[in-house]
Amino acid sequence: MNKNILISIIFFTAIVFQAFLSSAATLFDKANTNVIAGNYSRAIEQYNQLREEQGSSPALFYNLARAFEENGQRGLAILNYSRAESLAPGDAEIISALDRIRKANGLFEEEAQSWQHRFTSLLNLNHWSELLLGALLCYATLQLLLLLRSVDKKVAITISTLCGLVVAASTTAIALQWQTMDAMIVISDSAKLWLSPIKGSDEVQGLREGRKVLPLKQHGDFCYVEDSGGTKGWVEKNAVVAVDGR
Amino acid sequence: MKTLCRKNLVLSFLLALLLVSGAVSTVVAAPVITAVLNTDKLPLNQTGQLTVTINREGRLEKPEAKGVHLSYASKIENRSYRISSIAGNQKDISTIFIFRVTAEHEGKYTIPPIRLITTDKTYASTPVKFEVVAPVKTAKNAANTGGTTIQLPGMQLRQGIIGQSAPQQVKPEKAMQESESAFFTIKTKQNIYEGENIPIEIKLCLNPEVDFQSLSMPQVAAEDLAIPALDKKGAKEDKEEINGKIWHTLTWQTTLSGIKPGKHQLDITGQATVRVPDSSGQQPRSQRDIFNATPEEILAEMMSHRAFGNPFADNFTPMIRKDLALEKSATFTVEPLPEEGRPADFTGAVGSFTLNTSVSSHRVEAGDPLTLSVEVSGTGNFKSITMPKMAENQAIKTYPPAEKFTPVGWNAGEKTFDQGIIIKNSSVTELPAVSFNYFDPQKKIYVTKSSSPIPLTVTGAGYTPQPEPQESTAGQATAAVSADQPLPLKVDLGSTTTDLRPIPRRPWFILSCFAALLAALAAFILRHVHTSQRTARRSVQRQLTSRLAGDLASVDKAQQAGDGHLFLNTCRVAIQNRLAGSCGVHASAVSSSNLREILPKDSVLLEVFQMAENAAYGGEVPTDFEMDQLYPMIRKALEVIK
Repeated sequence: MNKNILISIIFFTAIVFQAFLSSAATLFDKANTNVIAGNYSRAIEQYNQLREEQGSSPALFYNLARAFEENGQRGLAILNYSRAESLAPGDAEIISALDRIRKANGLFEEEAQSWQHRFTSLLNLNHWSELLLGALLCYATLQLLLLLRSVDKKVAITISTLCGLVVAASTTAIALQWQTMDAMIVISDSAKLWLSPIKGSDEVQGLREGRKVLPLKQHGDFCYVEDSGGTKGWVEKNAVVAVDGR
Repeated sequence: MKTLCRKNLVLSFLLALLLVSGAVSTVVAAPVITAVLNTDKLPLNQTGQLTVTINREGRLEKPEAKGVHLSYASKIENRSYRISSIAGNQKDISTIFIFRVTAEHEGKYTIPPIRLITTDKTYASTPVKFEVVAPVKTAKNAANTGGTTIQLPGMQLRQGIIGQSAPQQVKPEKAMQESESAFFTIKTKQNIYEGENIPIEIKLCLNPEVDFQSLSMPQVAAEDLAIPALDKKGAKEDKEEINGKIWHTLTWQTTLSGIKPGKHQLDITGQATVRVPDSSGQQPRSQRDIFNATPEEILAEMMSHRAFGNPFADNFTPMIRKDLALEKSATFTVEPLPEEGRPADFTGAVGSFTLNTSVSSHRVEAGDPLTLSVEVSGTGNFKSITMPKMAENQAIKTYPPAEKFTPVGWNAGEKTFDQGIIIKNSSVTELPAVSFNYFDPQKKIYVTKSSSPIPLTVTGAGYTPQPEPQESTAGQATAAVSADQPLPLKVDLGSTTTDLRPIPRRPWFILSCFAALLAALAAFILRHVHTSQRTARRSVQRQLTSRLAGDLASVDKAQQAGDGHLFLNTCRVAIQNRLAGSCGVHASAVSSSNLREILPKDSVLLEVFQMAENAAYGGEVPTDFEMDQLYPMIRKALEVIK
């Protein structure tokens, strides 16, 4: 009797879960169809609905970015491409799309000049993190293995040295890129950098929509940011959105 | 004498009342928000002034009223120190918002309460009621002309109960003409070209002998002439000698430009409120019975600095407020720009400019971005200056530039354009020259400024706008398309997440790193402990083996010597040394009873140990043959023990 109830519960749960996944896929397909048909606003609504109900995925952000791009909202398009890239760092399509839209809008990132920047930009933050975790796990496994059985001393020293080097390199890279985790994208086409965090203060310069900025501090409705060219100023909070969705 | 005493008594009482009221005002807070209209009857063709004063920081909701148009005019922040006899010095922070009020129809109107939203509470002013009446003809000195009346910071020339300025001689009203109290001057050239930016100096001269109560911000009005609104920030305060007389001056240095050709008039207007002696025929206060005056009248006199300097003075001259309307006009002749010699790509820049260009790098790989910086500096109308054009080149792709203007001084500046450029292939050896045109009003000719081409070294095969080769993954639409074209949509939603944080910020990553470190550390420590123990054991083993070898050598020597006593004795020592660790006692304390506990009953070691003990008490000793038999057995038994 109990066995039958358990089987029924499992069966019911599986059906519900399948229906849940199926509805998500259907909505995603509908949104994609709307993009192809040119109903960008409707597609954006559906993608956002999907985000609220199911969470986000690189594909969802990518398609949402495409819809924004086609709709002429390049700031939001770059924001969502950036989010897709942060979830799937190695995806060539996303990287290519982000590179393309930035170039098309004249949003060139400053070339890394110092050796530290050149070194850290070899991989992105998530890759460095994965490398760090991999090296730590490898070292821990080696130590456990050495505890349980004998391993050739030369092999153990070589693996330990490599792990140590990788941990040192990735930790340094993460530390140098730490600030970029807070990156924000300008989503307003009329955003400006102001001298002070008050309305009506002097303007430092205009901020191009889609430009990446790094927040340094906040005050009221303003955020003190630095753009890729090193210019600092206050920008209204509603003109920028954090890539990590904070 | 008696009357004088009574007068002093009353004045002392009033003074005490004034001090008490001041003290009470520090305890009972003033209203946080007040709204006052400068008139209760507003003529239809005039503008009223609504003054909203707030004494707390917060967000002010824009006032709105049905049938009335309210437009924001200006804002003044007041930060002053108030002297209080009870609480000491206190800092007052108040902000005044000025709104212009106009109505389309006659009638009675009410401006609803205006709300101030602070972080903890919402405050509201009292409603403001007023009536819009039939239009009236504007009179120069008419009261309530509807102009903006603002007390400029630092311009409270002879005002305030704390002010210690010397009493002044106020001229009789009849002699008080506007030109003697205050007037405007305008200094600029009046023949200009269409679009030309010219410097203009507007000066408001104020007679220092006049008691100004308030002064409005001058308003500029001009059709087809562009001039920025004057504000309090731009005013420079000074003293100047004009026609042999010292005047207070407020000077605004700004720019003016002509929008359309023709003759255009610039009007500058302003209002001032002055205090003048009342010449309406009333007797001086001292000549009237002071006890017949109302307390408000007496207090008003005491508040006046003239009376406050000597509160018991007899000579209370009655004063009245008077509004003055100030105005000044100037006519400008705006000439059209000549058609002759006008370049086809002329954008309307008028002035005198220089052009400089620079590039972010002279060596570039094909396909990589470059930044071309173009700097236009000089004097003139920078608003009409756009990015200077570059000669077309198919191998060079340009993007919309970012522009930045930095004013330098009064009418000069520097405009910088940063333009993104991509060199598509290595056939490009230089960036073409850029050029722009402007009209020089001094020379009255069109000038074309061109930069020199910038040499470039372009490396690499060329710009190939293809995406990187991609691996075809299940459920993903992939296609090799041009990088200028968007890639296809992804058709598989994939696994979803609600966490957008980068990996180093995610808890699982931090926990995994911590766990891996902890595991590695624990394993390292455990391994170290095991190794230490093993080393110690080996060391003990080595010592025992060494000692056994020595003991066996002694036994062998005794056997060779045929000394049965010595043989048994050395055997006993060897057995004790070897088994002391197993018995858990010192070697010399090992006895046969200890050995019985750890050795089998038929053990040769037990037998030999017993023989050795017996021999010590006169028992038999083994013969040579027996020693030959026993020695290998003992040796083997001792070596077997671990």
